[in-house]
Amino acid sequence: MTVADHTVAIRTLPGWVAITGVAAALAAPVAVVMWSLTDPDTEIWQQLWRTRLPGMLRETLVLSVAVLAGTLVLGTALAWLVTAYEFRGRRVLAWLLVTPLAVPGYVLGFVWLDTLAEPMGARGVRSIWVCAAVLTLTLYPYVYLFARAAFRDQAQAAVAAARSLGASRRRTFWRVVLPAARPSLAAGAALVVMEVLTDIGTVRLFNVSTVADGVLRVWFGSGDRDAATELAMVLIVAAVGLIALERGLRGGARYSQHGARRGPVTRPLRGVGGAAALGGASLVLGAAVLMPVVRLAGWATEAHRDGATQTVAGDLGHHLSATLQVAALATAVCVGLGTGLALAARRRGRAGAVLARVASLGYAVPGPVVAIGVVVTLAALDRRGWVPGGVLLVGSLVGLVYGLAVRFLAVGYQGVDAGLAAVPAHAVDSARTLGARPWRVALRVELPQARAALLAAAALVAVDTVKELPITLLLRPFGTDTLSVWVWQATSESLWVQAALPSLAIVAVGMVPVAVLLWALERGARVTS
Amino acid sequence: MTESATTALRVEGLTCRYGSHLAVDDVSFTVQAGELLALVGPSGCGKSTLLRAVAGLEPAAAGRVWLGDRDVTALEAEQRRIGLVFQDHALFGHMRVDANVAFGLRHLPRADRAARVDEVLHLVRLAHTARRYPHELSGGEQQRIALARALAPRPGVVLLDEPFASLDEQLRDEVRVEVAAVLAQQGTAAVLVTHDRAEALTLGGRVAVMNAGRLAQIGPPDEVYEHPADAFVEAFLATTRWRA
Repeated sequence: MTVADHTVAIRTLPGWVAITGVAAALAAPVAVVMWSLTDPDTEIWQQLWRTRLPGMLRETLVLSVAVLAGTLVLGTALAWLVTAYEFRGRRVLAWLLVTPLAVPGYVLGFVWLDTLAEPMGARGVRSIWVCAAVLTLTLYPYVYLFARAAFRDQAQAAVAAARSLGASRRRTFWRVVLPAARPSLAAGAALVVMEVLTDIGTVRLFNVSTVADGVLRVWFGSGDRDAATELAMVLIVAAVGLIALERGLRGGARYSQHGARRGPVTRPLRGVGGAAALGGASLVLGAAVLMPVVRLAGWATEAHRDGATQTVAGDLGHHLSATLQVAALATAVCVGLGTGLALAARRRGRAGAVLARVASLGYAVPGPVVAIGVVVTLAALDRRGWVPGGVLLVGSLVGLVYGLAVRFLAVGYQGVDAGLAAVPAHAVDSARTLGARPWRVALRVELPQARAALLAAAALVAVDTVKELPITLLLRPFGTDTLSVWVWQATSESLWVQAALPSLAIVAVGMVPVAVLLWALERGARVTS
Repeated sequence: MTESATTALRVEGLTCRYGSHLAVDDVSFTVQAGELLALVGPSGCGKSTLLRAVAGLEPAAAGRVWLGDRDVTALEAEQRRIGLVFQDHALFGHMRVDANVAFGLRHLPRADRAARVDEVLHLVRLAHTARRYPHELSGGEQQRIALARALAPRPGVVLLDEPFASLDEQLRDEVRVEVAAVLAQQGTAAVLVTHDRAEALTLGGRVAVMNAGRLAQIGPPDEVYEHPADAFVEAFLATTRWRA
């Protein structure tokens, strides 16, 4: 090592300390849970195997596969419809098809539960298949967003070449378009399965006993935190396996295509074809957004008439402000740390990328598990009295935001990173040779050019935290009851009328970031790097 | 050495590695103040890597770089005061032309900054574009703005990486002549990287021919053209129609 190398090492030291510290803090709750695997309690495991675990594993698998298939078919088909065809209402529809993102599964779930109770019977409606259909309707936008971006990015030349070689439209789709979109579809599908593994609100409505639900039941039911932690391990293994699978699906092929990115030439659909396209897509929107909003509005009016528009904690304003406060804090932290991490990682090569991945670990871990990890981590800090003034972190707003950051940092990080990746490398080099220090390059050149991506990342984190249930439920401070907690409490007693107002409020609040996301996507932000 | 007083850039034994591959292999050369050195070679010969290493954007495995009598080897790119112009001009798309040019002038008081921006924009005859955005300019204009931006902070040397390659043929000759004139007028030392042999022989006060990471020959254009140092240089320049 030369003297020059040493001075460089010293200059970059504060950055290294910061990025390592952030990564360690965000990975700690996951590491704590994983640590329990090194010392498995055989008695607990035998007990779990004998009783509920096999059933939980089976139901989790069936639900995941069903929702995966449903979202892939629905998301891909709708994305292809709005990119490859031209019909009346296409542009508006292309936007509206993202809006189910603002409707949480546990809201759509109880609306459909009530609607189908009549024809299917109260018992028959509580089935894993209805649950899968509901989750498909709320989660397909992930696949849709990724697929649409992939289809639009498809070099026109590749499609034209396939057509000129005599391939029909259908054959071009199956042999050229779809294979090229495979990594994007895999990324979207991975998000979907992650959401299914994490879900607790929807599965509870339909009496589906998944592993995540089991973690929660063991934690609250028997109060056996060790057993809950051990069970949580199953979910981590599943999530890690899923990520490995997604990486594997990407394979070694290069998917980025050169050439004009104008998307496929759209084919006009008139008459019956156009009506069918519009009708089919409208049907999805009706089932996922319109019908639930109308029914919720009806129930909310009823609740208003009965004077049942508040909880013991407070009225709508109280819960709304709690939700906005938590979402704003979590979004600021996730996007802020995500930006810092993305900038730092890009300047530090492979080691930086590894640290960023470590910090993003929580995204692969279902909410209830993150919550348990956060409680264990913070309780250890509280016991040592590290926070002055005897303030306890467990059950504080700091603890809740910490938990949400552990889970959603990756959303912020990946969004910002994708934006930074799109900034021309030569612009950064030019700025440096013009004498700009790294922070000035970031503030004046990189971040301004990535601002659409920053907005998109913030919107995704915001809509995720507004809908989030398990972490909020387990970590919320006393008195900070968000709208999602209100819905959870009302629906767990099957009080649909009382759950309607907060549900409607969640959908309304969630629509704001969804609109921002759409705006950012129009401005060139990307969902994948 | 008597010439050292006017040496703008001195590179000694510069070596860059990608893994076990030697992209730049023990390269040494000097550029005098006001001189334009044309660095030419086939694609993949390491000329762009050499340029980036001189600018401090690429880590050097060995060797030293002096700017005047200042050893800048240990300095980061932003501390070297070396200007750089890319083929794709790399203007900041979200800033107006004057903000682009002023980017490297932060050390100056506001009034001096504005004066210098005006000065270099006049130099490239584009003062009227100051309030426009880069995308509103033609390719040739964008490239001249990129040069103005690089020259504004009065760098010790300007490095140009294939600056004319993205322009269409007609425009290329025009911008080429203009850029050479501006550099001469400013008296700035420059290194021009190109794969275009005729361009190198026409513009370069001296020409350096690079092959597989090494400098095969360096000297005045007619000397290199008429007395190639080895078979590679001879073959490389043989197909060039220059000074018919």
